[in-house]
Amino acid sequence: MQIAWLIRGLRTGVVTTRYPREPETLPRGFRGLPVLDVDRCHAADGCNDCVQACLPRAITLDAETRGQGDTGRESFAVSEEAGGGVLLRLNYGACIMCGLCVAACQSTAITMTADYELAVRQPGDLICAATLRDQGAHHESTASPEPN
Amino acid sequence: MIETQSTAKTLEQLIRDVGRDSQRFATATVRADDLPAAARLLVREEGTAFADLFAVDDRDRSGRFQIHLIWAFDPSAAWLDLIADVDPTHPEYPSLAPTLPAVGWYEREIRDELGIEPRDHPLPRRLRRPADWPPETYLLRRDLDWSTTIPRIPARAEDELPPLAVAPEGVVDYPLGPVRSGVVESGHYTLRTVGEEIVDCRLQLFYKHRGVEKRAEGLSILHAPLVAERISGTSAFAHSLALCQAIEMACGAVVPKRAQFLRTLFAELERLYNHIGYQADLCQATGLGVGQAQWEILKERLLRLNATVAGHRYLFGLNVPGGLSRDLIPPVFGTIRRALHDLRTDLDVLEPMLLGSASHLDRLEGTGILRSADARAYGAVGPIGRASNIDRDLRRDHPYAAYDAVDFAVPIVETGDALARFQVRLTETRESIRIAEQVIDTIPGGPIRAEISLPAAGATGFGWAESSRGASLHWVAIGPDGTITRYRARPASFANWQAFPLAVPGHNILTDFPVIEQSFGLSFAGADR
Repeated sequence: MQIAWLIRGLRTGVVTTRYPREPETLPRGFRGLPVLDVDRCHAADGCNDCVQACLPRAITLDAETRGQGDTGRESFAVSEEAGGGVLLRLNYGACIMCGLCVAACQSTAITMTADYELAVRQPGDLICAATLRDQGAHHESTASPEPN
Repeated sequence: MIETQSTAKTLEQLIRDVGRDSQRFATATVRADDLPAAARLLVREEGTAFADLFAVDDRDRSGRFQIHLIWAFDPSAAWLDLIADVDPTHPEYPSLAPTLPAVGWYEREIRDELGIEPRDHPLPRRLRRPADWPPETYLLRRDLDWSTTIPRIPARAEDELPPLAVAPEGVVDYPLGPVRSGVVESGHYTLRTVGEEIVDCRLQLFYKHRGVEKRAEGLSILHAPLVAERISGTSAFAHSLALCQAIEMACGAVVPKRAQFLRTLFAELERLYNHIGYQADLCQATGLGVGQAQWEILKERLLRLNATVAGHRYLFGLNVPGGLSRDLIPPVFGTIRRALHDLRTDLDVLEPMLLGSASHLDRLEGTGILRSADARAYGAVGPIGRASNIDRDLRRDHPYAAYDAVDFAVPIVETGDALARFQVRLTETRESIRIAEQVIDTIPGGPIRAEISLPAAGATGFGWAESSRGASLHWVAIGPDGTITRYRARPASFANWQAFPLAVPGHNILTDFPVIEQSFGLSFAGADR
């Protein structure tokens, strides 16, 4: 029977993929990195549905007052925007990719992508922050979640 | 007090009040002092089994603690929840452990987490409470907030298990764990050996206590499944399913048919990757390297299938109270069907190869025997119980989701050894494929999620699911604002770990231990929560 296993093993050949030399794509419906489309987001108009839906408090919304972060995460703070509006932060380090924010968002501003490469070199890079202003908005995204 | 009550001939004589009286889940009130008598009567009933024992801090509503003893009545597919009030000023009740060995751990857990003392418990020592927590810190009392920082103290010897008697000459105590090679979870064993033979096994678990039940307190019912999924990643779907069913019972929600079928399909996809992965682990334990790789390939294919159909390799985020978070479109059913067909084709090749490998079977046969009487006494569930001649499967005996609409066999083996556990899982893999195919063939259309209306304050619900490791039982109480006030989860591994040390001594040598451990396939994190 040992021979049978040997033959089976040889017949199977190499099944490991060439990742990371070649990209490994995941199916479209995979719940990977969530991204926010700031043009669709109505946080500046008082909407906070995603914040309410987020169990690990990965999404936070603050009136933009420089120096005030959400409690406990000051060390992560990266935003240095000036001016009024609201500061929306998405902390990928806390996100559990449950997708409840996507379901909660009535303006479909948040989508889950199939991107699973979330490793970064600095903890601060795990926070994506955007300042959202009232109509006629100047949206600014200050940190990119993209690695590298 | 116990003596005066033990003359009761029937359970009805002990019951003081009947609460919820649904066909599937009935509650009744008994006096705390009558609990052992009730347990004695229940143990004698044919076709019934102990399910769970836990306590609830109900002081803010009734001013009392409550003990819940849940019992399964298989012939009528019903559950009975016996509730006994305990006075918080004298928090104690007579221990059931002398009657029912299975409750030994459960009572120690109640003692640890609510400070309710089981009188005459044979081993009143800490079970799961971290050794360096102050003695009066009761995690599941409502007045302790989950975010409280617990001060640390030096561990107290009087709360630890008594040390093993000093080994005489020639007897060697072999410590194993808690940190071991590979990605094995943390657990500490002391294996007492005479020569090669293991004569005793001491188990120390609970290094992975995350306070999952406490974390759920105060959460909205929408968020609760996220917590349940994290009890044990490889049983995520079964846990969230059982919890959602408990919430649905509390809220009186009726889950749409299509969601019931989809839940059945996902539950079987979870069982499949677990059972296939189990074979890989067992091959690793017996040193069958190529066999391990072959089963791992199948498991990876199933995980990728999960990612495709559910968006998550381990099926997180699917169950929501009232149904499911996503529907499947017809082409996806085709994908699953093809994957199942390929899996069956591979099983047709690999199964005979395993069954023909003497080096594999020799390591399993007669190894780690869990006798049927022990399995019964300690309440072993799932494939472990079924390999020790316990003919129970919640999918058949207490059908939930769409299990009453599909046909499947429940394999039972009598011998209780590693080979039996291997065979049971092998057969169940085939049956899972059959169930999944039947679901795909017969799934009705319609919505996948029902609206949930918040229940009256104090509503409770009980949910169950047969995970790949056995019965997963969940109980919730919902408060006035629709948030969870008490969450109780009894994963299958908690029940099975208690029986595990009984299978280790006796005609097993030290090198059999990895095989015994893998043949049980238990979850450390699952038992711990």
